[in-house]
Amino acid sequence: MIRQFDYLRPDTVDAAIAMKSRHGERACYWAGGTDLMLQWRQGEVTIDHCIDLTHLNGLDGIEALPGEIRIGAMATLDDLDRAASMHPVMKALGDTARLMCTKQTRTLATVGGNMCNASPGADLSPLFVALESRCLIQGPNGRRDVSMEDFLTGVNTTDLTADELLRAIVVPTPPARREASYRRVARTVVDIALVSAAVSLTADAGTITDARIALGSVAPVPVRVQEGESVLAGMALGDIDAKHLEEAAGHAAAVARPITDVRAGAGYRTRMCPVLVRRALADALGRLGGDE
Amino acid sequence: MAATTETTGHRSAWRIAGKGIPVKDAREKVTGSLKYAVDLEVQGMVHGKILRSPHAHARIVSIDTTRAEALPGVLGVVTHHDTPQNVWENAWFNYRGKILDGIARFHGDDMAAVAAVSEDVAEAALGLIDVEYELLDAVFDPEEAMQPEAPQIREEGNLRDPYVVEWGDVAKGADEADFIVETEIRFASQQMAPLGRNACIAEWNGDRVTLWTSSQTPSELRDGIHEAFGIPLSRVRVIALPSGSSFGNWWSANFMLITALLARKVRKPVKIELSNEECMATVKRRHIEISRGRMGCRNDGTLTLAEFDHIIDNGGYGFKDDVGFFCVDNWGRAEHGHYAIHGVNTNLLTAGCMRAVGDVTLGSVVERVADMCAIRLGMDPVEFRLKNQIKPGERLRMQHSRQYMKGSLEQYLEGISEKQRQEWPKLFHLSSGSTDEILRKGAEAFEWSSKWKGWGVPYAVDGPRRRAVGVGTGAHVCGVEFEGNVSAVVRINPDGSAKVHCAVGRQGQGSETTQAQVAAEELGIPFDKVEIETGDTDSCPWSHGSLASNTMYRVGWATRAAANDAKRQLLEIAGREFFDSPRQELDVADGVIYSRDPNKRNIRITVEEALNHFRGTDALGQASSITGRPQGPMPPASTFARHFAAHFVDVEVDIETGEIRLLDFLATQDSGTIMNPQVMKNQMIGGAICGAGFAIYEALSFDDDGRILNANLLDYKLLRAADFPLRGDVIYGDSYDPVGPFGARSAGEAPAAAAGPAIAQAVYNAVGTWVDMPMTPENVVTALDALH
Repeated sequence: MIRQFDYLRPDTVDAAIAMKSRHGERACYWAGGTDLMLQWRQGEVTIDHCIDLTHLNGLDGIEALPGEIRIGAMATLDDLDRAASMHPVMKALGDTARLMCTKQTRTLATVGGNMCNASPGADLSPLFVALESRCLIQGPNGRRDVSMEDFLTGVNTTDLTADELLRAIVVPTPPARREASYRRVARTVVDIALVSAAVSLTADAGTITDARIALGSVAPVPVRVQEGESVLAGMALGDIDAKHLEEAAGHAAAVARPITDVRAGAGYRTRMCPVLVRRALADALGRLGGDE
Repeated sequence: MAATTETTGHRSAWRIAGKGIPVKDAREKVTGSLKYAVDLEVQGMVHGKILRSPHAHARIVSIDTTRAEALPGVLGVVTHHDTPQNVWENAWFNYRGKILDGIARFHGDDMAAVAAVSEDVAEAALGLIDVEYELLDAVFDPEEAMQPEAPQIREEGNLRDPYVVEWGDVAKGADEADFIVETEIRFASQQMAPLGRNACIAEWNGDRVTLWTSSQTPSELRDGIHEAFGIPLSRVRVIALPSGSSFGNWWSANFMLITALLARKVRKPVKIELSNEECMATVKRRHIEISRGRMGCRNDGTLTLAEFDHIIDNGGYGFKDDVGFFCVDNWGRAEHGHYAIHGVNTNLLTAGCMRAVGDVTLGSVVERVADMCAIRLGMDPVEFRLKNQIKPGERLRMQHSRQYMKGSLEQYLEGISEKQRQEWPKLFHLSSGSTDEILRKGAEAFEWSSKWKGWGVPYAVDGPRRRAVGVGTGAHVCGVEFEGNVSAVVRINPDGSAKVHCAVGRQGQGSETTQAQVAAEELGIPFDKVEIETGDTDSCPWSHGSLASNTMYRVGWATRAAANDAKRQLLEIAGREFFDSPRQELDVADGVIYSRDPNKRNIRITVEEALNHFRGTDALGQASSITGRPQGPMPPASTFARHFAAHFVDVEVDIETGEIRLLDFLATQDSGTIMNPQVMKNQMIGGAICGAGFAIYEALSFDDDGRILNANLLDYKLLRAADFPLRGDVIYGDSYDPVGPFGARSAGEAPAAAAGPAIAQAVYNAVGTWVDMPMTPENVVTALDALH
């Protein structure tokens, strides 16, 4: 009942992982601490050892590499906001980061922490899914990577084993044109999504080569709307009209599995899915067509 | 001092009143050095924690504290077995009960408490108290709780006697109407949702107790300790610290009394500090209110009838039988009326007065029904309000006072001299101000006539987005006299500085500044020579505190009267010692005493010089401390004074998602003289945000066991600054109150009442249907579904 923990400060990522391996489930990584501190104070998590990652080199920063953008797990939401102009795929991520919490919290909260917390209502996770993102993971036995869809496994659970650490999130930047968009319903300016939708559309030579749609806050993890995606895939940009968007978006309601809670009812959430998907598609499509 | 002959023309001569002086504690607040109760520690202090009921309604069969007391670091445990079984009452029947009596009346109710060397040990000890409960049937719905067969929550029964206001003849009002419209609304419960937490430290010295806590009602808390412990008032000292935003939450609270109980048991100072969740789930909230009502109207737009039946749920310990429902007065031009208010207990968290109690809820219903009349007529809502709302000199219907009178009006006035009564405004008639001027000024500034396109007609349609405007009005009282007279003390020190003592607390609304302005203006000394004590009951005379919009009107009146009395004494001395003049010829300006006699123009004595003159030779001790206080009672404010707000709002509603955005918001206010426009603007916008929050998002959510599900600011959604459109100005009416200090009336509650009706009407105009509050996205969509 008397709550205290040991504070550990590793010098390297390897040392951090070794500490985690040694102390097990009740050791926690401290990234931005914005979720962890609340959960600890409210008795939702028990921490014996807190491993502070904030001083480690190599986990922060947002880097443009050939074919991908690598977002360090310790990059903050504010870093994400400020990297919005780096590449078209980063615009949607930056716009979304700016919807989250407050400026003060964004300068502390990390992208990796947000993913590892794995809240069903997380704003970034459906967008990362729509952007085909992968998670780079390191453990005592080496590195591996896993798609964001597979990384998020349930309410507050991930694919990470007890001694693994999320190093970075990689967002592909295909040679073809890609635009993404995120839409949500929230209450006040500082809120988590009641329901959300993210889309990414990739076009090559005027034709949609890839369409991805993901819903947030309507299931334990982001849900892909594959039937909606296949409506648009292969279509010429010029042929897509409002009816097609409506049709693609219409498939969203069928895959949503929301709950009713204090924030919103399941019926409302389900009903908003097609609306948000349609709006996100229209937004992404507008930008795809806009400059061509 | 009674009614004044001053008018607006006097304003130009003021040096301090009416000026936008920065608040006295701005620097402390901005730098974080202002001490709230949570920040305070006293020597030798230990920590307390409260054991809370896991049941909404239960009786303790047995409670064993042995294991808890055995935990190292635990100093003592209190249960209902070692609690005085006296009933204590909070102001306005916001709480009536014993400190601990072994019965849980809501989920989270106080059952026992532990004192220990640290909070952690105290919390650990709570888990070692073994309690066996007998579960009792619980009732959560106010209408069910009114039924005779419902589980009874209190020994007095659940249901209070109805509070009824009636005039004319309702049947006649119905006959005279060309049409009648009616509605029913059920309101969710709003939480004060204070951003700051509270704590209480209690220390006993022998049989005397001192409490430090953040409270807006120091005197009432002192009275509560006296009642609960059965000790003389003279042995109780409350030092009320700033509370930060309170909105009614931090009056007296049972946790403060538990702190005193624990401190008495362990003979050490004890501090109980509430968590955020405890602040939101165990102290107080706005009532759940259910209203049914109708209005009759003639085809020319004249209201003939207002008839409303209103239920308020008091939760476990509230005992309120009335809501100060001053919307009744505001819409009181109808010649026939009947309002009945039913207070009823439920097994939910205690409910009590929150900002603009009654006028936020019943007021919204009355405004809605009035709007429904205007819709039938196709009449502009501004015009309909101008036509049907009260004007100065007209009868007040809400004769609150009469309900509390033991006999006739004549008996009520016994002992008040005829001379004094003649100086009072006409009782039961509105003395000054109304919505009239502010509606006109506001409509012009808002360009209402070009934006309002008719009922249910948006002025702009952009895909699923509809934009429309709305107007709403609100009124509230200016303090109520029934729990006691207000007083204040003003002392002039020998160095020419002065100190005001008035028990108003400091809930962030700037009263430490505005009361000091009143005193400085009346005394004629510079503002920075006036300091103020607002929380120490050992130095401040009794005051109702900062509630019922009491502060500027009633306490301000007392502060001015006390300053006037102190100045009278000062001028008496100066006249005798320096001017050889009667005091009536003298006055003070900028700290300098002067004579109006042209022959004595050259004599100028500072206050400091006048009083220092006696240093060492003041055989009569008359200058070392001049102490002024009001020399008579304040006229009964509730019988003639009201304050008014009119709000204009521009909204955008997304008819697909149900989201509402506020695009523009203009607040206008009639509060007589504005003592400090800077402070006032803060109050007006804060009130509007409070009312707008209630209109759109704010609602406590209870589960089937009466437990609050959103006692946190993540899921209890308050509007933030960025949710609210920024408009530079608040528009003020130019009325001059005949009683209030320098023509000022009260201010803080009508704005909270006006915002909701304005937004509801704007949403109606945007989408063509009424949406009940809170107008969450989901509720908007549901209301739109019902339309089709």
